[in-house]
Amino acid sequence: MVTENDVTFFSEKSKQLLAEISKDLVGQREVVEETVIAMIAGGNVLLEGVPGVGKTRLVRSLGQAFSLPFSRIQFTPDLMPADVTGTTVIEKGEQGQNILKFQKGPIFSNIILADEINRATPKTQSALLEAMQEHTVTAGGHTFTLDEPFFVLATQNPIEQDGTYPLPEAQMDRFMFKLMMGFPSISELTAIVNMTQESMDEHAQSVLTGQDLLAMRATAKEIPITQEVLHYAMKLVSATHPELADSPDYTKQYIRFGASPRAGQALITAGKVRALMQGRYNVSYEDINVLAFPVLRHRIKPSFAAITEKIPTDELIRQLLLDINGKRQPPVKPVASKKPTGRR
Amino acid sequence: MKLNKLFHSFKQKMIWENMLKSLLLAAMLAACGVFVTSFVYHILIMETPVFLTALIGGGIFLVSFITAFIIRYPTQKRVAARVDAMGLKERATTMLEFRDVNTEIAKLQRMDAVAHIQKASAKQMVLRIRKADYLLCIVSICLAFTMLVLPFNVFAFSQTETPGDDGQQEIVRQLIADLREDVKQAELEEQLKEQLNQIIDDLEEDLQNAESELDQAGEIQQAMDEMKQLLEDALTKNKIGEALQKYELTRQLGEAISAGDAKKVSSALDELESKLIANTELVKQLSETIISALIDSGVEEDDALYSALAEICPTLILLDITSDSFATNLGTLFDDAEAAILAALEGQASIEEQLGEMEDTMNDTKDEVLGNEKKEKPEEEPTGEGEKPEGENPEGAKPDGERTEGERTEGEMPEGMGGETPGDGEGEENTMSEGIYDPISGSVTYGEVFAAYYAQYLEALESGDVPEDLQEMMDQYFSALG
Repeated sequence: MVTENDVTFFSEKSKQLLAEISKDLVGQREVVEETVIAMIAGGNVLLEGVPGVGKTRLVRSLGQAFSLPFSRIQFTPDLMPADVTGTTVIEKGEQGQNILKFQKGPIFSNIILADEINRATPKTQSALLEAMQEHTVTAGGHTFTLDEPFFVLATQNPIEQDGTYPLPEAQMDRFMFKLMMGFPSISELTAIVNMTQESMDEHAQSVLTGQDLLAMRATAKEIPITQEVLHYAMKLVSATHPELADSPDYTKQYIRFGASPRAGQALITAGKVRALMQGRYNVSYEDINVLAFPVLRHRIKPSFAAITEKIPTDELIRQLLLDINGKRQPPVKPVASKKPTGRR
Repeated sequence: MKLNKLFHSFKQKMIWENMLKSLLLAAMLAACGVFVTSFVYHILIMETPVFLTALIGGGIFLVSFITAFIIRYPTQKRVAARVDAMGLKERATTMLEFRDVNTEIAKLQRMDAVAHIQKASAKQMVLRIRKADYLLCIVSICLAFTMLVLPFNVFAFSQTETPGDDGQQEIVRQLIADLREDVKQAELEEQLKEQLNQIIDDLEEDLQNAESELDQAGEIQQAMDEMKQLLEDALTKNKIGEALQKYELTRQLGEAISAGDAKKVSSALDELESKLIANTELVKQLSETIISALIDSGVEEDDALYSALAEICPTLILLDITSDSFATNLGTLFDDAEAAILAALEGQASIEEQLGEMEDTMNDTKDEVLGNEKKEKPEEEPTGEGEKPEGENPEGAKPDGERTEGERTEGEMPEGMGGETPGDGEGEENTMSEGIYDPISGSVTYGEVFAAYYAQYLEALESGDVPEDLQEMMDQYFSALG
């Protein structure tokens, strides 16, 4: 049973965690917070951003802050599933006989950074599926349980999509959040350069253990949520489905496929964590509204009309929120970029 | 801390808000009810009963106010949601829902919620009443008031002109003005003028109260008949003339007086003078004959013609038939009598003229009221009998107004339409025959016939000759004819 001490512990440790990570990562406050939420909630994160914005550094800092083993898998087109899960090798026994021994792959860690996951083949990508969902690995006829907590942070490069293998919907759905790491501002960039000029090492200190993380997870599960807020979250997920009769008109126009029930689970689980991190003991509408974007953006498939009209998925989510709150507005289309004039 | 106490101030404010919103809604609905009620009465061209409309509006107001207040009554759940909307992020609602849960986290949540609610103030709660609600209420009240004060016949699109139409009113006003002017200008006795003016006043009142053109035409016909009767009663020459004609001695004089012919009167008196000079025994007989005839005529003694003839009698009796100056005295008497008779006849001619003018005016107005074209009366060729001697009618007879008695030709009006055939012993002029029938063309307009017919019906109605159970049917009958 959760006690006040557990809540206090949660509150203090989450603040410390964020503070430690911010030592190594300049800016990206939202991404860091949402990544921590996903970790505590027991989900996985898909991170999308251009190279050099700090994706690997974030994962390293997390590993250091949690004192958890961290492994990085660079996905390439020639990466095999065995390279991820491990393989059986023949070893010499003590008496010189040949014995088969399973050599664990990099997936046998607590925090996995799957870098550029869309570059690997679907076969290799699927090797992660079982691990992400079941937290088990099956190899050589044996099933190995992965240590808890187990967290996968996969990255995608939004450019250089040629020759890549887009993640299938089934795998996308297993990521709790999809976070967008944008290019830092000038001031952030200045701070990054200044920091890395001194040292490229991570400075985050260990503040939590794996067990602490599991305890925090259990604490968050106890947070109450009212029927109204729960219904609101489910209404939001249902509104993404164009085949339903009462879905909004622009859902039918701009969305091809809606979010799965995992989206609803993710909203509630992550909402509880966020509420506790904010110092509240209940989930609010605001938690759902804020988490709607990372939860839904990779689960909604836009229609051809949305693609041709260049309506971003985040805009669709924004319209959904406005609609179910009774404040419907027309979709905002991206403004065409201005051509550079050459003036300084 | 008990929830009721915690939410008390917020609930109070929400109750006030609910009352105000319910009032606005009730006022709007009541105004709509009044508007619809008024509109229905306007469509039916009936005057809106204020009491009934107020009752309907008040009833709708009361029912909708109570219903809206009850439906929107701030329950604990609603109050909690409203408190959360002030920035508490669902703390109050969660506290309410999990108030019976005794886990540690639920208790912590309650404590946290209570702390935040106590920091909040009911003054921070904004009343959720839109400006559009106020505007809608004001607009609906204004519309209802406008519909209520509009004249009840504003939507009357009937093609037939109602007595309330301006054009119709103008016709009626002109008629009354013309009649009054005619009476004013006429050379009649004051008493007769007074009686005529009374008829005109009554006619004016009746025309204002008339509900349709038919009624107006009927009233005009009735007034015309009354005036005619009055003037004809004043027209005593016919009665006296007819009475004198019954006696052989005074037949010629009677005919001359009836005709109103000054020359004939003069000639008749000369003839009588000659007879009396030739036979003095006729003097007394003449006196008795005149007295008898005057009594038979039924004319009032103060009538000018009556007086003119009556004055002959005592002087006649007092004449000394044996005296040498009998003829001279007789001549003087008859000269005086002739002057008096002719003067009286001149007055009678004025009455006839007045009668003709009024008839024309009223007939024309009746036609206008009924929408008929004015019937132009053709000029009548003057006849020997009907023509007045010159000088006796300085204004001149109306070229198309005068008809003399006995000038009925073939094609006279059928029975039932009041056309008394010439030569009837009654000698009483029928109200329907004169002024309608055109002996030249042999035709009569429907409007005139109907108006006269309707006027007779009204007379019968007033005198109680129409049974009550038939009156409605008769009204429908005349409406259909009209």
